Amino acid sequence: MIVPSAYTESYARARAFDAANADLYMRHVHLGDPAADDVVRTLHALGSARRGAILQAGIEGGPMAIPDAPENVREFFASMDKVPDWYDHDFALLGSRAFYRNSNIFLGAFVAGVLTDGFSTLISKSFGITGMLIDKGARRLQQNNRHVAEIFLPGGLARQSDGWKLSVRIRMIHAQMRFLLSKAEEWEYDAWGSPLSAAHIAFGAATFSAVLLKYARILGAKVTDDESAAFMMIWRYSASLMGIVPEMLFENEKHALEINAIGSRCEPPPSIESCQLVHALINGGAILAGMETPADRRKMTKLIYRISRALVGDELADQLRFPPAVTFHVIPLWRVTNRSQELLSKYLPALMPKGHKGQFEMMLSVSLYEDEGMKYRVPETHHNEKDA
Amino acid sequence: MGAGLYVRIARWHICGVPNPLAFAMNDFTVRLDREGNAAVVVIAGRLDGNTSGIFSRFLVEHLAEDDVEIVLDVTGLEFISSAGLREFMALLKRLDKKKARAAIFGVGTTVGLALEIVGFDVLFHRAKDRASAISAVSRSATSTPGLIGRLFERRKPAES
Repeated sequence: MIVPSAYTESYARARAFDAANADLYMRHVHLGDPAADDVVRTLHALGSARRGAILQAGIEGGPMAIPDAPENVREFFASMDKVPDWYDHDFALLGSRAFYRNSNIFLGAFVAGVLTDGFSTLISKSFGITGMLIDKGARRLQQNNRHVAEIFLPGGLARQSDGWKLSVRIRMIHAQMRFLLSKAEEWEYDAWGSPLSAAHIAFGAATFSAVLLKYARILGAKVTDDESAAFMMIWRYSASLMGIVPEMLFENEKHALEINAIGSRCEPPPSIESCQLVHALINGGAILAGMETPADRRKMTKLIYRISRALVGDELADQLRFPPAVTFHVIPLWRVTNRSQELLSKYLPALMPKGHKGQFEMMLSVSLYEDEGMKYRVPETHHNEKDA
Repeated sequence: MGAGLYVRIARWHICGVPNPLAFAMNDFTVRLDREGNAAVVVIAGRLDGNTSGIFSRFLVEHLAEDDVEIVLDVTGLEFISSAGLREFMALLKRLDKKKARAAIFGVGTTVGLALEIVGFDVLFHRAKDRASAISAVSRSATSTPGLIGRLFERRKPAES
């Protein structure tokens, strides 16, 4: 197996920890998403307008909506219409309830913890070169929140639902970015492997699901075992729609945490792009939280850094150049605040007029909605100056 | 029942490909009936990222400033996404400013679960049918609980 040079040292250390899983991870560092990459290559020859129209039609209507598209493109969309045997729409409701009952905590865990973990890998090279996250951190967070809001609604992952479509949209954007980056001068294949590799996407999905759940629990979310299983099942289906290769797709929470753990060990220390990305996203989080004045934004950013440091630990926080902070009191304070709000909402709802629905209002206010309907634009150049 | 206004999404083509929105939006309809002083908004199909903008514009164009008795008939509503829920929230905020009353009826399983899970089931008076929904929003109806009642008020199940 050829190991990209940036991984040499970390891979050796990871093998000492768990050789089989380290090998599995590294085998996918050179791989993208073969099926979606094939579609993007085919569509590239058709020109921008027709490519956009076919993608829009395929995601919205499946193969029936694109009768004149190339056969491999129609087959690709047909393959995604099949719901996996392990996905149970009724059981998913448990995950939906747990998510929306604790959505403020999940949002906090996401911005403060998961993004830091998720972008500390070499995936940051891909996003760093395109500028997708650094230039528009707040907007990307909004897009991400919208995706999560949709997949956790009842029926949100049914074929015609927004959660399903947004999951596939993410897959196609990743494939297009991979296509563009693989031709870019800046991409160092020998050092980094494939742009947006199968390993990175699988690591991201495992982190955005199981690590999110773990951090939310630390911050005070109460989630039962069944609810956790349903939460992970929803993420697993969305992840499979996003193109995680079957060998790297987690089966449950424990498996996802294992993928996260081996990925963290195989990946080299955070790069400068990781630092830029994480700082941009944390600053974006303060903007999204509705802080209008610079002083309020600074205060909120400081709080996010503190919670983030408490969640991810001092070692990673220092590598990412977080400001120094004392954190021993941060998590207990958050837990007490969250717990008191939960109790007030339950027993004295009039004193918490926003209560449960207030959490959803918050979710709406930090998510992206576009008046002209669902669009599935993909980037045209690897320097993403226009929106995608 | 008053004369209805009706919007239905049609199919068309873009760049030689059948418009995909025709598949997703073909069945979305919104109509306004007037019954006495009540404005009954009849929504059917899927209220999602593709149709929420149409729904929003329909309400802006067809609900008058003096409409203060609003009923949502969602008997034919099959699915609501967060974009649709966002429009419900926007509508309620507009109505709240003018002290208008809103009721909803015909809530099916999927839509009912969505409203409940995100905590929106407390926002509307849920009625079992059109007549009781109209009655509930009538300005002559009184149903506001007192201070103690409000303090301990829990979510109420639908009348049905």
